[in-house]
Amino acid sequence: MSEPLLEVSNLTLNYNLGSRKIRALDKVSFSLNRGEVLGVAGESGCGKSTLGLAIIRLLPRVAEIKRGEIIFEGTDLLKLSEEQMDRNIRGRKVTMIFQNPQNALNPVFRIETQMMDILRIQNKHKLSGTRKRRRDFKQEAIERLKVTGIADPEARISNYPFEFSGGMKQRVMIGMALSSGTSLLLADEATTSLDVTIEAQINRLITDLASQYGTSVLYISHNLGVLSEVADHIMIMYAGRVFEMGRTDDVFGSPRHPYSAALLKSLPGRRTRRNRLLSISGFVPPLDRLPPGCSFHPRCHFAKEMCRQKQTPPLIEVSKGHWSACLLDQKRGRQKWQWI
Amino acid sequence: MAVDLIQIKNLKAYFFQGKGILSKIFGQGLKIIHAVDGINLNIKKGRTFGLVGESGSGKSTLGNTIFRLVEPLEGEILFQGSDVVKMNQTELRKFRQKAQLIFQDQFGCLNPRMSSGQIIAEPLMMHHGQQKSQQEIAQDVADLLRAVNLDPEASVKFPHELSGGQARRIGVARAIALNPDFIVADEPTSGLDISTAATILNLMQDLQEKMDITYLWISHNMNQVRYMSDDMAVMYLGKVVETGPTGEVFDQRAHPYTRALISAVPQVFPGKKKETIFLEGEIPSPINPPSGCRFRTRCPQVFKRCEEEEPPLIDLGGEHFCACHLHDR
Amino acid sequence: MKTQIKNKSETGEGPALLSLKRKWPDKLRVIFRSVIKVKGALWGGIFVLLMILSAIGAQWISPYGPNAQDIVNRFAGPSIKHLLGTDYLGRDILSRIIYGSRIAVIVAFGAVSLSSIVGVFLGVMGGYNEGKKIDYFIIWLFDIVRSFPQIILALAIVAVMGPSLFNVVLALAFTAFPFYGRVARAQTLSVKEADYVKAAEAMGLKPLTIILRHITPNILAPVIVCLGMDMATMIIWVSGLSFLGLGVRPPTASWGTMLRNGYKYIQTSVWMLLWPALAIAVAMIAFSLFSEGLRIALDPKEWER
Ligand SMILES: Nc1ncnc2c1ncn2[C@@H]1O[C@H](COP(=O)(O)OP(=O)(O)OP(=O)(O)O)[C@@H](O)[C@H]1O
Ligand SMILES: Nc1ncnc2c1ncn2[C@@H]1O[C@H](COP(=O)(O)OP(=O)(O)OP(=O)(O)O)[C@@H](O)[C@H]1O
Ligand code: SF4
Ligand SMILES: [Mg+2]
Ligand SMILES: [Mg+2]
Repeated sequence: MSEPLLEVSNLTLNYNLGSRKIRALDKVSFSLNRGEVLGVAGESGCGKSTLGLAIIRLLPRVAEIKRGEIIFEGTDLLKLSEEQMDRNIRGRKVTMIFQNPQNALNPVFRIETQMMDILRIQNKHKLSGTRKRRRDFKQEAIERLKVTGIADPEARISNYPFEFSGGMKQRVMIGMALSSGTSLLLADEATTSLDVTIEAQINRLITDLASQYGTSVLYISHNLGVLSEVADHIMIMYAGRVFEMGRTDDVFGSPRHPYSAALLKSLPGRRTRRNRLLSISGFVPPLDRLPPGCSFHPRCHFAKEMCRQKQTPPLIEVSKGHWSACLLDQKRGRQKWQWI
Repeated sequence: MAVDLIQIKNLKAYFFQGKGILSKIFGQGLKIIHAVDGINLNIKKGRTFGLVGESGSGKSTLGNTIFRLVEPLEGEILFQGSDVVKMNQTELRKFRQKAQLIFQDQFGCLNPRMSSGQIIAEPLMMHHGQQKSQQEIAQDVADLLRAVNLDPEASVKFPHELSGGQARRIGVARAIALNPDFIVADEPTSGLDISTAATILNLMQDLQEKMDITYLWISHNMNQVRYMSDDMAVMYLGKVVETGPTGEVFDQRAHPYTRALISAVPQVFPGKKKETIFLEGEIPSPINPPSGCRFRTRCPQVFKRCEEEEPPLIDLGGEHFCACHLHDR
Repeated sequence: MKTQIKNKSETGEGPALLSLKRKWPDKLRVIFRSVIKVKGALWGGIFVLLMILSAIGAQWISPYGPNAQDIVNRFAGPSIKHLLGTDYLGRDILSRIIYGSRIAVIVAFGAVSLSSIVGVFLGVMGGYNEGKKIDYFIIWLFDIVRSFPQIILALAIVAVMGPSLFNVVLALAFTAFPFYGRVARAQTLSVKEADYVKAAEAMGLKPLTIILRHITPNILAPVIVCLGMDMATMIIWVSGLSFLGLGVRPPTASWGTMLRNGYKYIQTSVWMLLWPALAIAVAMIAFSLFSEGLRIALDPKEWER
């Protein structure tokens, strides 16, 4: 099982705000094999959700894809028409759990109505001809709420979204996306408002989906602990670029990029109260005015003169299957060294 | 000795749901969601009170009830001695200006037709509108944005143009704008990467030290609660099952639910991880909470008495309480 | 502001960055660009603009006065002299259509804005105070007005108050406000549950501020869609009232009276009927499209930059 399902290459995307061009993705390339979970982490606002939206092609109108390809099962998604996307891809082969619930849940319809609509879409290609009945859909919707741990789904399914707690809404969205028929699941901070026990349960569902049905998952999260449990590979992003990529153990065990290392250091962990947390000083540069060279250099402890030069550091393979975009690494070649 | 800023006594907030007018009149088919079901808490002034618990256990409802965004059914909420539940509209508005709420839904709490700058400026305008010029307020907004690690240029963006974490930080900036006495922070850092979250935590701690702000810190991030809070409570299905000083709760894990919760915390570095306790069994519904102990349907240590009798909060010493029959000897 | 935050601020912030909102010219450009992207809205806007211009500048652009008679050329078809022909008194139809747009514009904008402002305000008040006495009162008011057939109510009001343009506008506004009210109230009930309204409440804002700043802007989209359709309806109605002789009195040029007169001579001169009917139809379509543009202009999510 290692044929790639999804291959993104050189994806570059702008948000055009009049004269300002916000470069939310810059030459993003990665590939995702069938049945694997790719964890994506990175600074808030670095383009992770944008990446997910670009794959399922639900970007706002102001977004403009400059170049790049998104090869999914051999076809370039960027070349498909809207209609083909709707008929074959969205909600069928590719589903997304949105970070922003307003993208997925309409406040004026009951949960029931919304879930059944989705189920109808997901089932159309499977059962062409034999029309499923309304009752069956409702039963399945209830079933899906049950597996995500919502108590008494029979009674709660007729509620409106505002009557659900934050975590329950999130679980409704998960329930809508978790279908065994999908090949690619884009989970954008899917478990942020769930308590750890339910989160563990949901993550078990997702990894089961990956191992049993061969669904690939793009798992965006800020919780490095969760990523380390569910993901096979990790991709670290910063300001629209991929900074580091590799197997989970490699990236978390021996991070090669100063940004990843700094991120791991700011974990609250065992630190006690009144003992300031380490945070990376300075803030993310505005995406339309990135500094030249490595975009992380103003905040990097290790920045050298060369980091400020014009050239942006390319992703290079520092050890087998482990890529990092740091000039220092480039210089030292494959020499082994650790940040923490 | 720290005094209590907020005392919550036997607070209950239910949601009523019926299929129509008939159920309203005859009470038939009426469903009652016991969202907050008899809660007692004391929040000390200038401290952080952590609140954790299962998703849907009533944490946000508790936070909203303190602001009377949800009207409580019964109980008292004493803020500096005066009962919020009994306040009239003017008093309530005064109280609401002294306290602030950071909402759980980072996008939902921002008006989609206002730019983030306007959103943050709103409380400032309300309070300083007379004394300060537009320019000064804009300056304050820029400072606030910088404090939450955002670029001041973000002030012209509308909520739908923000990323999840940026929207979250706008909510935080709005809440700290007026330096309130009390902040209910409902998952203030979810959706933020660790480094940005650390900035926010540091900022809020600094504010607390300087201004003596009290926090009710609702979070699913156990490490963060452990780090931030002085005292904490664990909620399960509308009830507090364990409460006490944070260190005590984490060390003793007196309640089986607390134990399961802490065991499930994911670890970045494999090897540190102990066995996760997966909770099996039926998840009880707030519409029909189980008899006796509400956790009994999933509790690994359940025994006969749990079904018959509801465990009261048992004093374990040192202000540490736990509602479980295992401790009643 | 508080020192601990202030000391983090660095110097050298250009004043340009300190605005909370986008500057107006910038905003207008943005709105304009999004509206013209939607072709229909653009055309609707152009037509509405043309109507307004012709209403204002009627005396300069129309070739003849509205009541100037050319007795020799009665019932004339289109010609160079009378582009759209003449009516039974030999009046130039084009000129009368241009003058008639005054009435159409006054009624459409007057009645619609009056009824929508009143309706939306009451609807939002009711919805925000759901279940309180004031809400019941407002619903009751809506229901009373709505229980009469609209046109009959308008007729009755004009009949009592006397046929004048002002009274027609008033009567039409009165019959229409409950419709806006219902739409606004229903929307308010759902928007009221949104977290941003709760956030405004938790901030300690006054109810009126919450209603004006947080609720009303967010319920307007469906109201505006109704608005566009209603403007067109109003034009027809005022034509209808004129047709019945209760609207504007002859000889004032209005599309409705023209239609009525045209109807009488349908067999002799079809032009007299065709042109005013066409004017009404075009105005209807233009207003509907225009309202779509208005909706886009008010929604930041639709803005194209
Ligand atoms: N519709 C839009 N118009 C303009 N800018 C946008 C829009 N949507 C997103 N952006 C900007 O693009 C950048 C990337 O946003 P994105 O939502 O992808 O971030 P993210 O990595 O998901 O962050 P987070 O972890 O905070 O959710 C942000 O700086 C954001 O402000
Ligand atoms: N407005 C409402 N109407 C009806 N039921 C509601 C309403 N708000 C909350 N509830 C219900 O009350 C219970 C508690 O919800 P609450 O939002 O307080 O949970 P929570 O502890 O914050 O959970 P989470 O961690 O998922 O946010 C849930 O069962 C929820 O469905
Ligand atoms: S009272 Fe019984 S069921 Fe409840 S937590 Fe204790 S042992 Fe478990
Ligand atoms: Mg995101
Ligand atoms: Mg909540």
